[in-house]
Amino acid sequence: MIALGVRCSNSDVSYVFLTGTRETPNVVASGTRTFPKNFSSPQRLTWIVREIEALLKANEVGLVIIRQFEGRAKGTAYEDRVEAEAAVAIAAGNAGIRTVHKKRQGSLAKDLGLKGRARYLKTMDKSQLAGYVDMADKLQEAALCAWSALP
Amino acid sequence: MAVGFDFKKRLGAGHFGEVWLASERGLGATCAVKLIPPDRIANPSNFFQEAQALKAAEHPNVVRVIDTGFIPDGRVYVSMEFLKKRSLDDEASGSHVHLSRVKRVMIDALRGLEHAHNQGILHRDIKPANILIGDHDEGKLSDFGLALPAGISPMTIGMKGYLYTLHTAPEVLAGSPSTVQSEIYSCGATLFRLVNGDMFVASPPDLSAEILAGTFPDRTHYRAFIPRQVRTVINRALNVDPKKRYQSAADLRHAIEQLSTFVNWQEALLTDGIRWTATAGSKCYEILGTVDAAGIHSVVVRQGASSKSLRCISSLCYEGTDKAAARAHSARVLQDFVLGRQP
Repeated sequence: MIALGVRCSNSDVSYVFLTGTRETPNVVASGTRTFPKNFSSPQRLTWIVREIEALLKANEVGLVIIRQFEGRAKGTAYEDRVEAEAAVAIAAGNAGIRTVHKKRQGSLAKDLGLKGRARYLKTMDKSQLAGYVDMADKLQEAALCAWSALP
Repeated sequence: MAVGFDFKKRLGAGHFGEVWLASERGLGATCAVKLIPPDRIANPSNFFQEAQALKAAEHPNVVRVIDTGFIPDGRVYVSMEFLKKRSLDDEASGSHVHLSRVKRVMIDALRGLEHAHNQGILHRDIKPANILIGDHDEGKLSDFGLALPAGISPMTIGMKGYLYTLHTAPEVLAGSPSTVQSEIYSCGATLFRLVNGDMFVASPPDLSAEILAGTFPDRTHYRAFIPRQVRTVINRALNVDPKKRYQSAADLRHAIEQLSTFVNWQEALLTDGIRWTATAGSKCYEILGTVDAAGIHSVVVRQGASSKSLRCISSLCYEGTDKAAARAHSARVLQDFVLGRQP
């Protein structure tokens, strides 16, 4: 089974496809898709849905984990990110994926076998996941999402 | 079951036959029907190759094929969805198309092309006339009459060697088989035509030689308002060396997605110069480049809430005797507006 972890921002979507088990995760594919410039909000959201649909089509994904926005901040940037997270969920639904979870850091830590506190993620041993240290911050978050869903 | 169409109107005709607007008698559905005489079939070993390629490349950004077969007079028909907004070529009518429109439609068309490539199909005939506009203004790739599975030479299956030279990659003109990179070249030529208009691609006497040399189309000659970023993307797609082009339709699409297109300029030639006009948001813009009897070149930039209330932006205007400086100034101002760098 392949798990897809996604980390959205107001300007891009980072994704990591993982397979294997919690003990031996393998990266199938990863990347970041930057939103097109000068797209209106509906165009951008349609674009995200289509990008994620294409990615899901290229990989036989069993479940999708979206890194959920953490705080209570307000503003366009945060709204855009939340909208992007919703677009990813719609794409997963369109692709027939029934398991789509949104996780905050606490849930991620718990599902990775740590105590349910965000701070434990920082000290966690990530050496089993090849290439993790070389990933950009958002990709690392996407990778942790996918990792947390592996059996 | 016999297939029947009520043919209503001829939409067009070309090298491979005719396209008709028709109504399918069974369902009463409107469709576009391509009729190909048997002697004009691109691949004589498979009369239904076009329909089969369309079916294999089925995608929201590829024209939907409905059916194929023979009509009573022996011609092959391919019935497809009818798109009333026609093609980018029809929309351009020889002139240029707004940058933001080109961007949106080409992103869509490249999605369709990317999917076709993923299915192992090369289109081999990408040009503005083969990019149709859907009901929601999306781009759709059409006309897979020359499409072939990647890696198969047209010669080996006895396919006719028809090429639309203007959009054909130099290496294909030189005899190499089509590749994903040669399709990228065709996309680059399509982009070049769309942003500039057909007057920028007037065929020279020895078209093939100039394409092989990389001197046609002239990569240094664009409309003044086309920003450097756009030119760089198109010129890379048009690189004579396939290895220096974008390596996939996805790569080219991602590059186009990152282009800024805040303002769409309209160009009008005057007796004493050029006028560019644009509307963006709630503002209207006008740039007037003229030369008077005394040889003074002036560039006047004006903006306002409507075309009747334009006021001069003196800080952006230019006046002088140097023609090249006036041209460079107007180009810089035009491009800055496109990139969103002006008020």
